[in-house]
Amino acid sequence: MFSIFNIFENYTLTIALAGAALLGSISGITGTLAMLKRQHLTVNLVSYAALPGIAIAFILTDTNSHLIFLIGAMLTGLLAIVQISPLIRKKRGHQDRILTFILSVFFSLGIVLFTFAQSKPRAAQAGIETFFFGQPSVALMSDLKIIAVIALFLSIPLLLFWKELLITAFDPVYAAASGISAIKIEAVFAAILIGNVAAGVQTIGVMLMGAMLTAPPLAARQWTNNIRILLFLSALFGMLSGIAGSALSYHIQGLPTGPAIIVCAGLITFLSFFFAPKRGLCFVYFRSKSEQASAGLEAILEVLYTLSHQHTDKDFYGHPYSVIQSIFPLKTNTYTILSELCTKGLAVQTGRNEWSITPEGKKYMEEDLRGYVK
Amino acid sequence: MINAQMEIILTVCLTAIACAIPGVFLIFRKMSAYSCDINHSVLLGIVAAFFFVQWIDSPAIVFSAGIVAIVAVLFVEKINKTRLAKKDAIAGIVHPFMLSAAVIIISMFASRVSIDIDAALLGELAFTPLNRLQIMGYNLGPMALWQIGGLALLNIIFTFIFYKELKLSIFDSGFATTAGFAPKWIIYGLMVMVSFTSVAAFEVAGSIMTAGFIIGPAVIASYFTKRFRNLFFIAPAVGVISCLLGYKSAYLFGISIAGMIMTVMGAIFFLTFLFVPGMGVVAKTINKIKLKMEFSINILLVHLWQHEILGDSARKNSVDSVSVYLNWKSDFTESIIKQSMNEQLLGLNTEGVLFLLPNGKIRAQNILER
Repeated sequence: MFSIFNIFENYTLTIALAGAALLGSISGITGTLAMLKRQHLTVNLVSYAALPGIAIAFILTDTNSHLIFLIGAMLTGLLAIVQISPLIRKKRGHQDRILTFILSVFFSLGIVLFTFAQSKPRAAQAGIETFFFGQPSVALMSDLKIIAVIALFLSIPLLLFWKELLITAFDPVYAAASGISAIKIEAVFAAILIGNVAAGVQTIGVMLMGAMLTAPPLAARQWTNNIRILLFLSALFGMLSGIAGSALSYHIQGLPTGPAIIVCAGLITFLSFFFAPKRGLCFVYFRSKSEQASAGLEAILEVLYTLSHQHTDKDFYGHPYSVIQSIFPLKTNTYTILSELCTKGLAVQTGRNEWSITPEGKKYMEEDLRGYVK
Repeated sequence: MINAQMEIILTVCLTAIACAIPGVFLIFRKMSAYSCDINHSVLLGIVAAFFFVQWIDSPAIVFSAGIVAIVAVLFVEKINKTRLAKKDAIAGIVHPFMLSAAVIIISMFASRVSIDIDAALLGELAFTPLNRLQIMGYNLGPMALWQIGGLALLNIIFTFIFYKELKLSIFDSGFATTAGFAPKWIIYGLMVMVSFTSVAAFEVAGSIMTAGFIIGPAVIASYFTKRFRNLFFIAPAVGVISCLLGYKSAYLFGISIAGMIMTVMGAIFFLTFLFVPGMGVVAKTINKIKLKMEFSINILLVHLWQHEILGDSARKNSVDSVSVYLNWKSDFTESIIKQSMNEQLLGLNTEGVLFLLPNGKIRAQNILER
């Protein structure tokens, strides 16, 4: 559909892709912090709160300047965070319900202000839906510059307070004990969040910006336990979905940018859920299967071992299948387990439908399962 | 035209009532975010149904949307059980993903799917009277009115029949299980109720505001009462009041009705949060100041009483030394002394030493005896 050469030939596309990539990667990093702090609802609140800010900026200035919209978005985002900050310390259920409600109120306020703005005679052509789902990816150089400047500004507090942010996210009690001011770090995080949301509102839209901050770290989390790799992967996934989404929306007529990016991010997340090593659902499924099999192996061997104590007079006393099955009725096929034991040399088939444990098997049980078998 | 207005008001009030009832259960089940998530997924169900049924008021659409919403919620529950991620994080991507898919379908196949994104997200309340239910040629009023009215009735009946079960499942699901109530299925029933209410309210209020319609009245009502049963009367009342006020102001300014209703509800919440007696911020602050004053007076009285018994009151009970011994700032000490004098608890003699009046003595003794 599109080749790498195509990107550099086409100036508009290059700009759009660069903007989306930059935005995706900073969202990945901010989102990781939000995920560690478990503040998904706050993220959503700040992004919804951008809508009335944009509307107010639009009504007051009556221009179409993106910079002014962003300032408006930041101001209402700040207002939203300040408004909920006393509630954050409350009980969790209590906090959730008020956050959800305030989120909805901010959105409605935005709608009301927009319909008000559109009823004015000199209203510009900016429709509401461009802010819901982002603009088509005919981005301008000025947009890219704005995103780049915000990214630069976000990196300063991130680098300065990196250690404090991490400690507070992982262990707030320890952070407080080591003299890190919780309010200061909350404020730094809020500033980063507000800046990031403002940068993304133009491209991804108010309704989906929250998902842009949630998806990449969630996907990255499935692949690693290391915080550095987590951040790197999260930024990478954010960047990939940004690039893929905006490229798709550029090439397919009428495809809105924001949803395209979120669908890409969502697909990456779902793929990670299923196929990530160690944590992914497929891996867990196969591991539990193989664990079940080996557990069955040891269980049957234990049965043979215990049975062999009944017949100490003879070395290879064959025990009938029905006896083994009745002592340990496994869901898995006892025949296959027995034949596997035979190939491993731990058991031996002494007759038709009769098995016995070998000296190796006894040794295995006595050495490896000393704690369990008496 | 007056008739049409009445119809709009009636529709929106019924929506508020239908939404407020499951909302009460949701906020106490700590599932309030659920109302917001479900509204993201509903759109995909509506769009999907459109491909097969090209008729906007088909019951098939309501069913399809409700089922998609429930599937989305079950999917989130399923992944949550694997402990790969926190529930709100999973919901934070699954539901926007479905919303994005719906928006993409709408914008790619706009000719086949005749839904306006604006209308889907904001509701088209002003146009509800245009779409009428007609049976055998009789005009029975707006379709939306019947739909939401029926759901409000269903919700009320459901709550009435399963009130005990729902209450028990929400507050003590462990006990509900031992008592044989199957709280899991009751909660699923609640989810189904919320899904279908959301779908029906979707047309009236739009996506995000439906969440507010569900949560808002219940949140506000929870400030007014501590009795669970009362919530079911206060929450719908709050909803209806904000509908009436919101409709009036939206009509005056010519702006989005559903948006204005939610804004009014937000304002009511803000006022409640500040001023409601007992639980509001102002009441709490006043109560705190009162308690502080009372406690300080008690301390002062005990201090004076002790030193009057010991007999060193001349040295320790002067105004200056009180503030030194009790470690109070001098203006705070003065205000406490003034307050106690007003209450006839103590007096000041000519040498600047405080002494207890009979009332004060009794109160100090009472405190020490406690």
